[in-house]
Amino acid sequence: MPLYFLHVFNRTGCSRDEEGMDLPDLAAAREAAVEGIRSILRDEVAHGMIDFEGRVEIEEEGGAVVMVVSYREAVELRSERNGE
Amino acid sequence: MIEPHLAKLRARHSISAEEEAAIRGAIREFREIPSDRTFIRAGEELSFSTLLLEGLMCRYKDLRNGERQITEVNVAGDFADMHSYTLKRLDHNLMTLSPCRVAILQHDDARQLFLDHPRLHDIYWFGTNLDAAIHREWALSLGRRDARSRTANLFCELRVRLAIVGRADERGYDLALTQTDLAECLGLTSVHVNRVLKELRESGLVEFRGGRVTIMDLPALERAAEFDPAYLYVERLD
Repeated sequence: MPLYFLHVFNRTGCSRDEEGMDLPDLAAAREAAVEGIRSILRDEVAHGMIDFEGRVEIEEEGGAVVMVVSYREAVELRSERNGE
Repeated sequence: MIEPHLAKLRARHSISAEEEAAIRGAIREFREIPSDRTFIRAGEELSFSTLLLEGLMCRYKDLRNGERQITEVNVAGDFADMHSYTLKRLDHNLMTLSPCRVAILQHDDARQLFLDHPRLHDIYWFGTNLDAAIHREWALSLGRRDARSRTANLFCELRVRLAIVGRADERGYDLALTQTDLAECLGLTSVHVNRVLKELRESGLVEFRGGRVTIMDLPALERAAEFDPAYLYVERLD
């Protein structure tokens, strides 16, 4: 299985993934990124705050960033004013 | 071979030379298990208990979608499943998280040991009660602590448990876990754990890197975790 590195970027900087994850393909890596972002946001909500200013960069072995998943696209946002 | 186990017992109870000989005599088999192996599955009938002597293993349960919750990490000296002595099957799986050396205690031999040494029966009962106390603390963590405090608490707990068997000191300890393993302990994801580890490192509390936990500020780490070691019962009872 290919190794993917999922680096997290937000307002406080970058936390680089030095370990990587063996995942079947890029779709699975995107799923891991989305689940990761939701997990981070869940913790923020519990503290009464949500900050969508962040992204996960998915890097392949060799160093190429093959996908960027923004925090905003990890959840569907609904409100009276349609998300704004 | 069973020194870490004796060290764990002796952290709470005196064990006489005769009792030590009886424990050693009851164990008739040692095994090596490679890393990342689910070596006992929920539901299978068991006639023996597994004593971990070296390495890390865990108890876990999972959902149909493959999501796994580790419910306790076992360290050298721990019985992985003394409770199978009475339950005869487990409601969870047992998996190695690193290469492990284990001892096998047949339940028949355990029964004879307890008949010959009723005090050891009580001491092993204490051991399963201690596991239950750890599970309660993890329930508190998973249900109520935030990600940062939950992670800090796990590092505090493992430091105490590993120190008992001579595998940790004030400065830190080796911990052969991946971020995914930690995520499965903490009910988080690997990505989130990575984020939390950065926070803990940048707050000057603890660093986890390359299989090593480096404690940067133990009192501050314990405060962040609201860590109260009372649930680990590290006191000589008799």
